[in-house]
Amino acid sequence: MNIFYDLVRFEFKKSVFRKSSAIAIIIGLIVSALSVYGTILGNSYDRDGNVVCSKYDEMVTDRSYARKLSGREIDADLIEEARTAYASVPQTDSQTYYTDTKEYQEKARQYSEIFNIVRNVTSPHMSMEEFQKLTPQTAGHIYEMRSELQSQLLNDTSMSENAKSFVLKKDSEITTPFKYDYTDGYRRFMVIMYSTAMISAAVCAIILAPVFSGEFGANTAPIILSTKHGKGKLIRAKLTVVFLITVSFTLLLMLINYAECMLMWGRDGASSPIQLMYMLIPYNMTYLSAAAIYCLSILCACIMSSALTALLSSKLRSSFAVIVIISLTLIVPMFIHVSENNILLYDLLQLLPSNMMNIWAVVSSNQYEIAGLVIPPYIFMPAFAIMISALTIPFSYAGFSRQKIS
Amino acid sequence: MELKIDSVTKKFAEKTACDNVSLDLRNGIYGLLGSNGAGKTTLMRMMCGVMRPDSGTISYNGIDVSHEDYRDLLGYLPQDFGYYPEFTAMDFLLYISALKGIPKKRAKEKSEELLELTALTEVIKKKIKTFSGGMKQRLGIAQAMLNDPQILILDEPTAGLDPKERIRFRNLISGMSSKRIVLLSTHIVSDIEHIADTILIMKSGHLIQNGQLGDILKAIESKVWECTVSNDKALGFSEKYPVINLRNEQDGVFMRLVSDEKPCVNAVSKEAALEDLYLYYFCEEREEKK
Repeated sequence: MNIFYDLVRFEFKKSVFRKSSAIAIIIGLIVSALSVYGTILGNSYDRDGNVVCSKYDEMVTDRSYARKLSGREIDADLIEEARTAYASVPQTDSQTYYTDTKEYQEKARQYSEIFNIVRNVTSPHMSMEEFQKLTPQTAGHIYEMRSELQSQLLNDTSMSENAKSFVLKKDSEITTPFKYDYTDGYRRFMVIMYSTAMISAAVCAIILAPVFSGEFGANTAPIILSTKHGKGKLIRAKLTVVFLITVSFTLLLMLINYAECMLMWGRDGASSPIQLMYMLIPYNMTYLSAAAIYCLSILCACIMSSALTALLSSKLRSSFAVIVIISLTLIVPMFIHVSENNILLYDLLQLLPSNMMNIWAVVSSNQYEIAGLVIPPYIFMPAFAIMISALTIPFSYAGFSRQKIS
Repeated sequence: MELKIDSVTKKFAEKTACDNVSLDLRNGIYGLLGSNGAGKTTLMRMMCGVMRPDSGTISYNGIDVSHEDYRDLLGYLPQDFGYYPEFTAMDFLLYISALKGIPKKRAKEKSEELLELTALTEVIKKKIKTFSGGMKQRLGIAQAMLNDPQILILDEPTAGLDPKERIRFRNLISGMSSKRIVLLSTHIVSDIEHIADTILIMKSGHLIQNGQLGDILKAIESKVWECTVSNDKALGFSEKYPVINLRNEQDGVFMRLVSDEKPCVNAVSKEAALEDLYLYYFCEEREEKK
């Protein structure tokens, strides 16, 4: 066992203490850390290009408004209050944003989140003018409208009746009315995690691409493969390091981003329903539990990406080729759009690492079905990722140990 | 204690690198001679288990080359020895020790011992990228010796070394040769001539000679000649015979060459050396390639 730990230690040193790895880690950390603040840097402008205020001040103002409403039930009274405030906003011409008007800034802005929540349950989404004319009766049926829209959208999918029933059952477990809360800290965290996940996967690809192929680049493969443990324990040590580096770096970025979001935007809203982010999410989750599930999905996606990196590294002799291929597998799927009507292809596409890192795929109402068993995406995706990662192990093993020295 | 190579063949596309090679090796130093592309490195790689033969078997005391127990007895210094530039000499030896299954404490002791033996103690904590060619080769032999191997395979270990380094290397190998099989390949005939107990010559994938120096030199007994001739004749002889040595002198061109018959009237028969034999075999190959 001591030999194994020694090999893990050396493989870790070989992977991390390289110039390219150090540069990738530093850049990844900096980009990830700074990208959190992207939405609060700079100024906010009106339509004429005049500075209204800094984005940071805008955030602080919105936060104070949101906190004033925190704890209130999103019911007919609150919606009517919001409608009344919006009713004071004058009609604008095409040259002016209604958000630039004095009435909006002074009266309606503080209810902007309430308006967003209400428009989520209408299809097509309600305009500001339509919201101004919302009747109390409609405001009082907001949750029924939500259920109806949920059913309608489900019926339009190609899922089986079994899956649709499953989603509706899950949806029925959600407790209403929702209590409004300021949730921007968690919301920002979940939005930024997509780019963080991609950064983590990319940095891990750069660090880990040479894990096997680098031995051919350094011309150490003949010595290694002729040693006692070169075709056995060493490969296990390398794969262990692949796993450890991926988990460590991904968790590090997650923790940094989480701390930044909580410190900048606030820790409010952890126990609030995830439906405040998007009303039609059909799962009974809080922001905290959704964030945890999302992070787990990202972690598993990154592990899968690294497992594929290791597999390619064991087959190819060029670390550069490995990095190029993995980069393409991360980037290209982002540009491929498949209709949800083609449910099989759509679901398969969501199982690619970069799509698995998307919050909307994780909490999607599209279910996975295997032999009649309906599995929500937030369970299926991480399980699939781990399964694929495990399946690559014997191929990585064979790929390196049977490499021909030419 | 026998390393048995039985009818081993290896082909790459249309080229046969090793053609039905059979060998039985026991303790001692074996020098493997051959030109580029003769099949030496291919044979050595198969003996180290880093390349699989297309047919035939390689085993040591009944342990097949593919088995972990075989690799436990093996020390290998490949051609173009690779390393990790950021590792120090000690780091590298400790890493290879771990690969060879040597416990940490013993690995440290053995590494220090071998670094002293190879005169690398002063650079123990320096990064390998700062080493000269000779120092890297010495580190290479040190790593090959870490597990006290029963089979030590060295592929062109003196390539790129200056004469002083080569002599030091030869003495090192000679000192290690007891109680183990040492197989050493090289183009530098004098390295083998001085230390090898048995000489193996490979040509185009075949083992064409296998024996002690005196025995194999019988192939060119009475075929080595020295003479001094005119420039014109020297040009003709260069095209006709394998020329080992050619030197301009006051009264003509001094030549040492290999020929089945006496090349000219004033030619004097000389005692054959290994270099003469090498040229005798591989000069033909050069002509064929032309």
